[in-house]
Amino acid sequence: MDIKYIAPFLDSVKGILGQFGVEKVTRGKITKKENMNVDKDTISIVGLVGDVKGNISYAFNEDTAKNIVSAMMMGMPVSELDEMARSAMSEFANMITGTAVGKLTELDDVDDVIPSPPSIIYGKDIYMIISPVETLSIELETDAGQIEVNIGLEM
Amino acid sequence: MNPTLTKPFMESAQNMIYQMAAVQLDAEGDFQEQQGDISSYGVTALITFAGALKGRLLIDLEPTLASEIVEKVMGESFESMKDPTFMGMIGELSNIVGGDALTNLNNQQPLNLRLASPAVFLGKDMIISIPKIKSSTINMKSDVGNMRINVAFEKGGQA
Repeated sequence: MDIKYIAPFLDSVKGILGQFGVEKVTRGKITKKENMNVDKDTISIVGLVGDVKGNISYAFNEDTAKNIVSAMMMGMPVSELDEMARSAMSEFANMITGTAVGKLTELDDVDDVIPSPPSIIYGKDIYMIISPVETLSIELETDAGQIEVNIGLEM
Repeated sequence: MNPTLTKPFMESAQNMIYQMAAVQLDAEGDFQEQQGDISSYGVTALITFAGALKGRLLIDLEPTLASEIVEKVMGESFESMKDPTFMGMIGELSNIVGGDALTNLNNQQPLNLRLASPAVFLGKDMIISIPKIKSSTINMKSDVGNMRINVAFEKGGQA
């Protein structure tokens, strides 16, 4: 997996969070994983079809998810992840992936990438595989909490 | 949702799982519109597709059924479902079912649907939510466990 396909996603997380007033986003540990134990309880996952094919997932703890949704809703307090909050989480994944796809299509070898609608998975002690090849897991430390971005592309 | 869009997924699941693992799955009724979140049986494969329409296939299996299929196909048993080969096989299963269903759909209508790669989740008390998109679910039964198929098309399948 070439870094040129990864960087747009990380830049987009930073850009979108910045738009909601979450300024600090720093890159933490990057690990390569085959299957992974996600120690976070909320996962948004988006699939990509086209010249770039695979899945991207964004994992958060409940508190981080609430902080992000609250930031998206102009600071409104969010006490539980209800339907509206889940819809906002899905929109967050959509916005990041949409922005990243825009950047990906600027690459010479990428013309056509279609993102799928996001799905959200909640639960404890979740194991997941998002790619038959390999998955890069990148931890991002933000003011809203830690976000784990998992990128599995068949490139 | 238009049954011509959902039925191929049920048929492909029945045919492919029978061919691969000799497990007979019987549908309980027809596809029903999914109300609210899906509470997982324990093993879930998600595979998205896009073309003239965008959508997502979810195959949710009880651990007993997932283990039976993997054991039959691989010819070996696994100590834990967390084994990457086990999870990879469930992903491959969704790829085969989804691929077959899309081929049938593309042959019926010029939808040009293509699959993304599958994602597989294991966990206790997992809840799956697909906000802002309508989906339909069908429950299927076998001697070794239950399965459900959930198919979602953006805009309910209207191009």
